[in-house]
Amino acid sequence: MAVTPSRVLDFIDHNRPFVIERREIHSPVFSTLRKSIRSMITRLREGDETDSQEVADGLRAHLSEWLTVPIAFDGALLESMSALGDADGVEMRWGVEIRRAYDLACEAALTIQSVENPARAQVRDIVQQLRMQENIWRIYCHRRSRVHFESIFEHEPLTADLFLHSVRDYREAEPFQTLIKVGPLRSRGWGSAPDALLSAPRFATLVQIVWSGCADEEDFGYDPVSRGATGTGATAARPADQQIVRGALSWTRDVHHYGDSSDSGLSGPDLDDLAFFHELSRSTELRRATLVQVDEEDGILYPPHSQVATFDPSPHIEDPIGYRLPGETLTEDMFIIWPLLGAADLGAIRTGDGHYSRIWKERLRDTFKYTPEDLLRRLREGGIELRNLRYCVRQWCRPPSTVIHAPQQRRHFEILIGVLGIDHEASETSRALRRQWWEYAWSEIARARGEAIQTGMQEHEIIDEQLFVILNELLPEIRTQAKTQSVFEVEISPDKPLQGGVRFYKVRSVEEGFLAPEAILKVVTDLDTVEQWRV
Amino acid sequence: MWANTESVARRIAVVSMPCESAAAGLIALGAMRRRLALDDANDSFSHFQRIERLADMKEGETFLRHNTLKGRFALESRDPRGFVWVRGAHTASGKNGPLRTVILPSHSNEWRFDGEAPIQNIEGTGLPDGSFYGELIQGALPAIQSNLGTSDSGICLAGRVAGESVSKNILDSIRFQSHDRVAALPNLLTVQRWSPGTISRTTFFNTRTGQIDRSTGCTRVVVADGDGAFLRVIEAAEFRHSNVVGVVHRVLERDRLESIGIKIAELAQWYAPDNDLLNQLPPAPGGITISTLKRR
Repeated sequence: MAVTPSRVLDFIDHNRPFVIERREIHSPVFSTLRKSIRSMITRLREGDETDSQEVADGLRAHLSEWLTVPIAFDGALLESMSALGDADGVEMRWGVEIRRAYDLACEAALTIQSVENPARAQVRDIVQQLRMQENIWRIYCHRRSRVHFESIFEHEPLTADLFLHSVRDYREAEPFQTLIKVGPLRSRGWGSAPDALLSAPRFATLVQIVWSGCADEEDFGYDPVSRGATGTGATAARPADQQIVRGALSWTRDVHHYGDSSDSGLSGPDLDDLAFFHELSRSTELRRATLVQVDEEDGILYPPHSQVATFDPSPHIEDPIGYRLPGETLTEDMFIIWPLLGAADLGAIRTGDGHYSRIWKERLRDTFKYTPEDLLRRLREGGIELRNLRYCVRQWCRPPSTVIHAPQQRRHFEILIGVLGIDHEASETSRALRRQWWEYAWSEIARARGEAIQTGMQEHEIIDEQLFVILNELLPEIRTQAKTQSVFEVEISPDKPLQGGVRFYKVRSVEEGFLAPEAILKVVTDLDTVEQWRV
Repeated sequence: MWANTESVARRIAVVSMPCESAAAGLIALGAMRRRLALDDANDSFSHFQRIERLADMKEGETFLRHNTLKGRFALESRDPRGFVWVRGAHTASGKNGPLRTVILPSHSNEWRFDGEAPIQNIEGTGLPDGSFYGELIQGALPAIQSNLGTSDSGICLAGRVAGESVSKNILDSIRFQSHDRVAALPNLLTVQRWSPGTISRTTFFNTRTGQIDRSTGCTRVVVADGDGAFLRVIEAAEFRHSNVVGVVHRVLERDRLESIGIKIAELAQWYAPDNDLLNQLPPAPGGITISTLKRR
């Protein structure tokens, strides 16, 4: 317990009622941009083409970010439209209505570059005020959004302690006066924040900067006991046979409007784009997932109730090696256990990690750079029916890091290598090889992923059971490495029943609010790709 | 408030805190302190009460075994004088048929439920911090001297999912001072493993392993520390007749908060809000919300 309960309860007692100062921004040009993109997304999703879905997902991710992060209005906005190609191409492919929306969006994205993002101006304004008042304040934002806040104050840098990024950060924060939050109050997805902001405040005033039309989640501030009954006074009376709730906190809201609210660009007021996207995502066949971030660029999405093999470095903990549930018993500063178990003996060639991947990735990068559309078409014709193929190919192009980024399915990898036209050279050595080139390359990927690929290898549970016994014997070494490193590996002694090693990833954060396809779950994936599955 | 009630209706309460705290331990201590003032609040009497309760239930058969008498004995209904009888389950070779005998409160410890361990009377010295209990709650009834020297399993603390040591560390942060003496909350709770050598008046349920430190089937109130503990205790067969107090905090991810909310909503099928009880409670500090349910 970083903060004593007495301190929190005293703070709550002395600061009621709490205040939300909502600063709502109106911008006709930005409204036009929003509405145009929304219109494009709606129409793109009506089609069956996987490529159209992929473009729609990309646009959705961009707009969601603009609505929840104080980004700079610069060329990046226009660039984000580039995934669709040029205007004529858009019309030829998707028709005149999408072309019309596309033109409006491009024009708005170009026009808006001439002004500063009003959300950034609001952040600057409130921070300057708070600094002058020598107020104790914090900013709540996603870890990856922090850079946009920092870029507003290049000459008066924001220190790391001013930021809160997770439920855990918030839980450990000492009470303070003011919290700054950009975007609506949502419990999941883009711009999400802990319900505790309203149900267990550690601050007296919330300054919330939102674009017009972006509503807070109705039940944000959810308390399982009072079921979101904040704002009804100290005792919220309910109809007969309903539970009396005592002690619920009350909030007062103070709404200020900024910008030109008289003209909302295209017809009508701004709608709630984030709520609209949330509804869209519910209609697709995706699974709920929790993101476990393991380094600056990568994370792993786990479906609900996943039992994840982990190591808890806390001293004197019972069962430091064991299964834990992300977000429940698996928390920050623990380590994910990633087995790198021995692969089958594949014959004459045994290479170190990265030998095959360097070859096929180089070929893929070249092909994707010069003939991207042709490559995507051939991959689809070959049988890769991924909805987000363009994003996937971009990811596969990445150089090997802690893992080799590659297709998740063996069949897809075989198709990819076939399309790239890579095979053994016609030499004596190659004729002696027992398997095709792609199979060797696949075994390299599988080894890097820690998959047990030996024919007839035991089930994962049995492997884990054996692995846990071995790791418990290696605990002193694991503890030593965990003190100084975020990612490290330990080798398994050759006399043990399992061969190979184990990689440990330190958990940087655990975050809910994703809907992702099955293929992307339980694999190390770059955060840019993960972002598109945020709801 | 619940520990001494003879009401058969099971109650469930959820206390929602605005931060992490040792509140579960404090509530368990309050309940344990309450039982110190009750006559016959000890394991032997609770064991006999359980035998009586099962004798009164008409459904199914209950079998017991004796320390020295061989074979199983079927529990019979109480006779008009209130005595509890058991009858040998197998026909004896003697002329008089199966043995039938009465179970007296003074000898009930010689009997155990078939398939369960014998009743454990924790041996050890009396509570070392007796004076603290007297000063703990202003206006509380005085502790009965005999209770300070006998074990009791009426109150159970269900620890955090993270494990027993984590639970104990949190409770260790709470200290009580009386004159020049200081006692830590875990010591006052007298959980068997935390205070070896003394009698124990609070049992401990390890939520992580699903094990209780001594099983008596006599838990009157179980206090669950955290959302994970609450959800497991509610489902645990061990506590299906026990009253439950779940202490959760709200600085959690939405999914975990919703798991508790869903469980409370499910319970509403069989439980009604117990607003009468809630109205008897003194006002809680701002930010602490409480929900109480009573079996319909």
